[in-house]
Amino acid sequence: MLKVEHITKRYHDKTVVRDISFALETGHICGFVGPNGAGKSTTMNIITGYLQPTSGSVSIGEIDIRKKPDEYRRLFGYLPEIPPLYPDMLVEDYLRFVHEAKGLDKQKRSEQVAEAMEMADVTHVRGRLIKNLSKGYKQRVGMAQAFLGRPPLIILDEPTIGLDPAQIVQVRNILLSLKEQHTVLLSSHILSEIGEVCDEIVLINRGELVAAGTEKELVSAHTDAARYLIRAEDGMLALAENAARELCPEVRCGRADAETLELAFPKEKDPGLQLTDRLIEGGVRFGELYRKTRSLEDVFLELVNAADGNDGGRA
Amino acid sequence: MRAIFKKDLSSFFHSMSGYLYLGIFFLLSAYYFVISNLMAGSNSVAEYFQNMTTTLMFLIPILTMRSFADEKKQRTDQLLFTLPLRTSAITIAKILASYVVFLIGIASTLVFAGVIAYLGHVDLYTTIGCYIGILAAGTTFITLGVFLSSLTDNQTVAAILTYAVLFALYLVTYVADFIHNDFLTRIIDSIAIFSRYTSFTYAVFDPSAIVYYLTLTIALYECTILVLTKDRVD
Repeated sequence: MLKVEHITKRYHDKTVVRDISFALETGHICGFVGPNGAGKSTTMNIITGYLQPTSGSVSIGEIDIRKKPDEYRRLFGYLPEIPPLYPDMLVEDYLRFVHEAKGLDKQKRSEQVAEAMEMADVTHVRGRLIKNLSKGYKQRVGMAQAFLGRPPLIILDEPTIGLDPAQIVQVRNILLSLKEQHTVLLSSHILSEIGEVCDEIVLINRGELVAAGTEKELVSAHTDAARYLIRAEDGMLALAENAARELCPEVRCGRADAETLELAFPKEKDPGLQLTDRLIEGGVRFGELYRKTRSLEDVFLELVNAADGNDGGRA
Repeated sequence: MRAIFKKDLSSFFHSMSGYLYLGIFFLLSAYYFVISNLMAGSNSVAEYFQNMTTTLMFLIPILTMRSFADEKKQRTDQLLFTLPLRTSAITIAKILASYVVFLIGIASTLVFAGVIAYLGHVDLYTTIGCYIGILAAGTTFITLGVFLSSLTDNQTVAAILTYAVLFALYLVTYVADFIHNDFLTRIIDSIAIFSRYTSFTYAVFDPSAIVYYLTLTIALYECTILVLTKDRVD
């Protein structure tokens, strides 16, 4: 669907995006993740043609933005980081204006505007001035304009930034509802949101692509050990350590605190339930035993720290 | 293009700028009519229109200051420039929207010509010449304002810039009288956009002045496109 190939953006001697390539499959929601200032918005602006890349190309299907810009721009709806709204317009008038400006079918204008308002859940504020709406509603009106005419690709730059938790849930539900008929590229630095909504993730830092894949792939690729935590009395922890070493001599043991032992087995020698059996057989009385899984946040911090030259250390 | 034109035109009347422009224009044009024609007992529209060009120097920035500067400030330029529209179409739509408000103002002055015709005799050729001249000069002034608005994201800066440039061009006409160097005089003459208008007020239809305004308008329009597409896929 969307193909981004080797895009680089330079301003004088400063490179803000460096050789980024990724592809987005039809029907997927792709999360574009990176810390503030990583180059997410610049990349999105390049994808939408708002900015020209210094080098590289972007295409949707077979249509290259430089060769057929008008045709290319008909294929996506875009919500920039700051919703592009005219405060003195009524919600419905604004959407009708965008519909007309996009050159969409005039006969279907009322129907498609109503549909976009329905999708973004702004129908009940259709007659209100945009300047009188709350931030959450403004964001949703901005989303509604991106949905107009149901373009195959929807690009959303930080759609939940500045929203309260309830509004974030609403926007998340809207995004999930898009999945059936649209391909979505979504940027954010809220990782829980990305993890819940996205099929694949592209991680960038300091203008460079750091990693790409599904959440599972990213977490798995950046997990070097199967980690377990055991909470027990101090005396029992020594027994637990011995039991673990019997099970796997390569295990690394460490105390998280006085009552918690952390065991790190090589990834390919994950003992699974055998660990519980062995601890019981070894007479270890423990209060808690659980597997410590890495989160997307852990991977993100590790990759970002590594790219920044700091050793973030693996969890 | 039609959508942007309609949006911009209606925005003049959703905000104060359209009313402000037309209000001041109506007041000043009525004032000039009373002073130059009614009180002076003159049936010539020439002096009235001569004053009108000076008035436009102050008023055109009100019309054009928002065109691109406000879009940049509100970040709505990100919507406009990612629509399946060429920058040329967006620019023309914006120039036309300002021009329509300008035309409403100019059209209102036909009432004064009507009053002169009713009270006495109106010199038709001078009147037509003056209208052609002011419409041509207005096109250039508006395109200049739209161009300067494309350079900034602050509408006040855009207005001050437009006013400053028009005022400088206005002063240049008078500076030319004190310069005796042929080369410099020629340069000054080429940018003296106000003096081109004068011939129209003498009932002299000067095609070169029309060509001059047209050329300058196209040059300013091209400069606007150049600024707006500098770092953009178009």
